[in-house]
Amino acid sequence: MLKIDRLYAGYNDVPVLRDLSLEVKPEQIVAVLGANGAGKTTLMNTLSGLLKPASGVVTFEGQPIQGLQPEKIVSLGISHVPQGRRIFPGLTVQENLLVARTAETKKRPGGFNAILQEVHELFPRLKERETQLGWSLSGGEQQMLAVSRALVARPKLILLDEPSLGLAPLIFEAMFSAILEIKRREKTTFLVVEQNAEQAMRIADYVYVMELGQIVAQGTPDEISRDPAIEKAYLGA
Amino acid sequence: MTTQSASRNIVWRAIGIVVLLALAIALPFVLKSNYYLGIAHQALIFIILASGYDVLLGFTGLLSFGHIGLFAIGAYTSAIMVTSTGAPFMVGIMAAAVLTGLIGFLISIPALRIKGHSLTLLTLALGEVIRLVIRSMEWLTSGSHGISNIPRPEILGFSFRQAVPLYYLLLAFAVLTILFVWRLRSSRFGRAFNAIRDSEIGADVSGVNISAMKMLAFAISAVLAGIAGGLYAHTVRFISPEFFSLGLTIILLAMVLIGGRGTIIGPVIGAALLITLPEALRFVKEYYLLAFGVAIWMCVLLLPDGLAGLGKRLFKRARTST
Repeated sequence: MLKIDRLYAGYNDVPVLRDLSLEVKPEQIVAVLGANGAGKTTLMNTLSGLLKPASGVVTFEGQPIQGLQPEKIVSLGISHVPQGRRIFPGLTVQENLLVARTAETKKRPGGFNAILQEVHELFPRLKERETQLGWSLSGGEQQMLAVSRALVARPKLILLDEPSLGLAPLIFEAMFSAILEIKRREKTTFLVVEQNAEQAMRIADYVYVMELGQIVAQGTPDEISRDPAIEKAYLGA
Repeated sequence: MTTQSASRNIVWRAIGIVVLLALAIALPFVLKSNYYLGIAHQALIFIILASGYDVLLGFTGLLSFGHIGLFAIGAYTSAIMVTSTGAPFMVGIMAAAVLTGLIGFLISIPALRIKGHSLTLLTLALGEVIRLVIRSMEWLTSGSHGISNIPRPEILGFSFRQAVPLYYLLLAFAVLTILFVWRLRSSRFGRAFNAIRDSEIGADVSGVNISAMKMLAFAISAVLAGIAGGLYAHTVRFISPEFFSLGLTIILLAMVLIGGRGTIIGPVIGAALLITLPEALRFVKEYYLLAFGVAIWMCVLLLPDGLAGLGKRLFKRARTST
């Protein structure tokens, strides 16, 4: 579904991603693990068009997408839930979702209202807070809103950047089960980057381990967790 | 917020709007002298200008210091059209709106690449350049002598030469402007503007076309500045480059900030207040600027959301205490 081939990207001549290749198969949850500064967020930003790559090819459903504008990438079916959530504090919960409407949203039966209903089923908290402004939400509610906002464009692939960041354990348990529920209902594919390896491995179908802008290991969660070197370096055993 | 209190809010707001409008309509019956009506004219023109400026500042979060330049272009366009070609007033206003809209759109192109303080500096320079160009193009603008004897508005033979009809004409323009920005705020575009203000990255990943939306915000606020400029020229009947100085830019900024940016009613209150306050402070004579400065200073310290925010806070407190 998504194929990254020999990707180089960075900021002002400082390379962050170096010769990175990976693949995401449809209807899978693929996790990219790595320490701080490994380049996980740079990878996500490059995929969603926030950052232009220096070289390399990214194909989505067979079509090259590297260097396209973010709104074009959204319209092709990739939604990004950025690090730090980036919700709109001055807009109400419902307006936050309305901003993300696309042609695809309107094309589906029920249009925006159908999405709103799905979001309310997934996150009943957001229904309760529908008319409140974004800034008044808790961290967990903001994350729910950011994920819901990504759903509005009816994506085939969702890029999730550190969904557990700053959330209490109970909240991110709920977040991860919501992700599994979205995958089950919508057949959505996920690419998740996480520092919290243990949590991510529980829901992932396939795992890549990233270090200094490169993939250094890959496999199923079972294989990865059995690798003693990986366990020592990344899983904090 | 429960739906019940939300609908009660709407009722209160509707009552407030009706009262304000009634006051505005009744004002000429109270203000008998042409002098006071002249101040009211100014207030209405600046309500249009400040409401348009808020589309940039309050809605989209873009701080421009060049807005008075667009106001000046609007004033000169309409004044020159009407005085030298004899075009009707409405044609002059429309030409002002189209030309400033176009220039606003052009200004937005470099503005897409730079952000924050650099953008503000760029617009500051543009505003000054516009003023200097107007001053040096003497063949067209009569330079620093200015253009005088600009006729008062006349639409389809009906003259707005007298102060009272002119007041109602300006009021109509102001009400239309407020209605327009109010509808804009709750439209798809208004939400996109707010999204860009709140988080550009968030807007980007939500599929908002940031470049197109910023261009649109610049163009809309420029068109309103052009209309306000045209109205200004035909109301005051004399314009010169010195009026459109950086000082006026600061006053415009203060109108929006003191009133409350992004609130629709805020720029209206701010413009009305900052035009009338100097008159109200006449009794302090030469200490006027000092009092004015202190008033602005207190507003910024005590009212971070402007006067509109104060109203909301008082309203909330009154409700929770009952």
